[in-house]
Amino acid sequence: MNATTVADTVNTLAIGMVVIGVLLVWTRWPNHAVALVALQSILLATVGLVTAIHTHHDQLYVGAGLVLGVKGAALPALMAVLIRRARANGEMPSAVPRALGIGAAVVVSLATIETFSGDPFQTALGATRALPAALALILLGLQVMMTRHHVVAQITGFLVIENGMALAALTATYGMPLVIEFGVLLDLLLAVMVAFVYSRRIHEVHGDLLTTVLRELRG
Amino acid sequence: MTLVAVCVATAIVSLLCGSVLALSAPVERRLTWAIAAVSGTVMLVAAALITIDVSRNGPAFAFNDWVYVDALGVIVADLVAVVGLLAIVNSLPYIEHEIGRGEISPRRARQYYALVLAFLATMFAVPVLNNLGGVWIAVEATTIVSALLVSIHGDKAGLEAAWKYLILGSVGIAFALFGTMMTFYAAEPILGDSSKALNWTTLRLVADQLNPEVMRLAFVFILVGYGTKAGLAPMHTWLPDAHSQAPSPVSALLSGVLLKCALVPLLRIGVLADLSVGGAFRDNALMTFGIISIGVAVPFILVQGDLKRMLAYHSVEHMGIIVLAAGIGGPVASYAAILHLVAHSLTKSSLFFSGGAIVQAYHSRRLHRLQGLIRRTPAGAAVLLIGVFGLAGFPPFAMFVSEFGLISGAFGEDRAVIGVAGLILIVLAAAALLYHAIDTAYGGRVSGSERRPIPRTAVVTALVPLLLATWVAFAPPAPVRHMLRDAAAVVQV
Repeated sequence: MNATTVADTVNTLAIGMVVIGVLLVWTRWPNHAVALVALQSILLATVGLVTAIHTHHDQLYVGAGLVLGVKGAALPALMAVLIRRARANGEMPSAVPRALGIGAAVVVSLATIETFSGDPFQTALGATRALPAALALILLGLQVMMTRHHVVAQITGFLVIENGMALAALTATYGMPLVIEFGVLLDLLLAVMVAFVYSRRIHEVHGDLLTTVLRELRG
Repeated sequence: MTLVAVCVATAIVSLLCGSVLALSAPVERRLTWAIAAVSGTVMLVAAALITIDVSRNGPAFAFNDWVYVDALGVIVADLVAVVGLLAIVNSLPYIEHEIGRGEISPRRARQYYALVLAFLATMFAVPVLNNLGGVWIAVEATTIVSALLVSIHGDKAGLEAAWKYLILGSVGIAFALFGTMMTFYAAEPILGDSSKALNWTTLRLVADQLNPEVMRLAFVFILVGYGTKAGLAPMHTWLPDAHSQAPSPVSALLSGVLLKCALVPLLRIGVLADLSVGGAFRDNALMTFGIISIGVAVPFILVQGDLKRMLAYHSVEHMGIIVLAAGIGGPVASYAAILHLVAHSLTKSSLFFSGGAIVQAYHSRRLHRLQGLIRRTPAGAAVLLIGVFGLAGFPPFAMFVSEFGLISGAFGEDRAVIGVAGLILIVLAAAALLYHAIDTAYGGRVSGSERRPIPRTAVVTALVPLLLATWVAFAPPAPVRHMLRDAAAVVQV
């Protein structure tokens, strides 16, 4: 693969991740959200693989494998189990009308990609859209978490933010130093596992996975 | 191996081993507490030795530069050690009372001590780590462990608080990770892609060569990210819930120490951003978040009816004061920022120790139910009121000195308007606090026979940090004064 092909491929994959992020804002069903975040993680792993093949950085193969195994397979499988056990595949209510949500997601994503495609945010690969796409993913993840009142939406939103950061790390600097990457991934895994534990507790106590039941503490 | 390396390793290993032992050793409950107390004491001794070494020989590196302990690191590590050990001591009567009332099971009590020690280990690592990636990992680890502590009672409110804390804390800290990556991105062309390119000491040397556009973006993410964890408004919404629902000794750790740990990387990366971007970018950003935090807290303190939530909102205010002083900059305001960091850590932990015992004695956090406190719980009320006067910034307490320093610094740096605005808000918050405290202590009609004493341990653990804070502010020995001055120099350019 020559440099231009690599840059075009990474750009396309990054934009694909943003499109999936926008679809996550649009979807109403928890199992669809989980499938979308798994697909997004697979695209991220592909970015890692393409970068690894092009740059011959061995640690990127490890990183791509970890992303594929953990975020592309293990965590979505765990979430699917959580949804099935809780019988909580009902609609995820939105705090804003869906049309407004999807409109805001598209506008903010396009504006972010356009604004930050300038010179200082070039990646070493020459993929001009990768870093702005990462920033857009962080904002989309935040939007999902803020507007969807469902435990699954909050976890998937967090994973979208995390995918955005991983995309930035992969394309901007070929990843952080490996020891830091491992530490970060371990911490994030632990955080998601603890979130799973709490999801189960919320279901046990409230009989639901809607975060609207968490309204006791005010003022 | 240097003394600092041995001490850092000993403190963290002792806490982690204590944590595993507390969880797994089939011993009597008080012995579990003793394990925690021994680990906490080892941490305190290690912190004291590090302090002496850095005070005599200056900042020290260890473990191939992964660890770097300067004056700022020493001060925050000392706070972790002092408040940590006091929290362990305070936990004994607190947890026994909770078990007695059936609020917590003996099994949960062991988990509590194990988690407290793990929490202290993660917090101790934050100020002494040099690698910004490592610092991020440690800060995120504090969130995971402390979220489990917030919900240790297993009730609905605790679950809600822990969920919000975990989610908001993790999102905030994710922003900080993005900021850290951006810093690495800015450094890589100059320092290469080794892990040393994330060492703060290395970055500090080349900070003026880092790309200003990238560093501007990096600092915005760092400020929002670590600012969330430090309880700065408007990202503070998790804080009153988590700090009020946690067991009171843990509230003391969260409010007194954890918020300061989150400030360490924020202030350190702020220095890099200032050197790279130049102008007043960093200062303006810090002052804006500082003044917003103080302003947001005031109305919530004024209308608050819950003792622990009121103390929690005061933490938002005081973190705002520290950040405002750091933003004003210059030697006087920077010194005030560091002194306020120390004073708030000690004063707030004191208030959670005494307030927590009072809440237990009355089975309520509602202020109107605690009325007549001075007649029903004289010792508890006295120590709580002393703490309240300290928190309100009255002389002879430490915060009087730091808040006076903030104003003097503001005038000295030609930032009088923001300084005066801050002062007005601080006075309003102090007035609201005093109103609630005096109404609670002297208000209501209760007979003197309804005595509800609090344990002597709670009184002592609440008095010790207040005395320490006053001593540090008014009569610090030369090494302590130099340490505060050196720490202030770390956060200014």
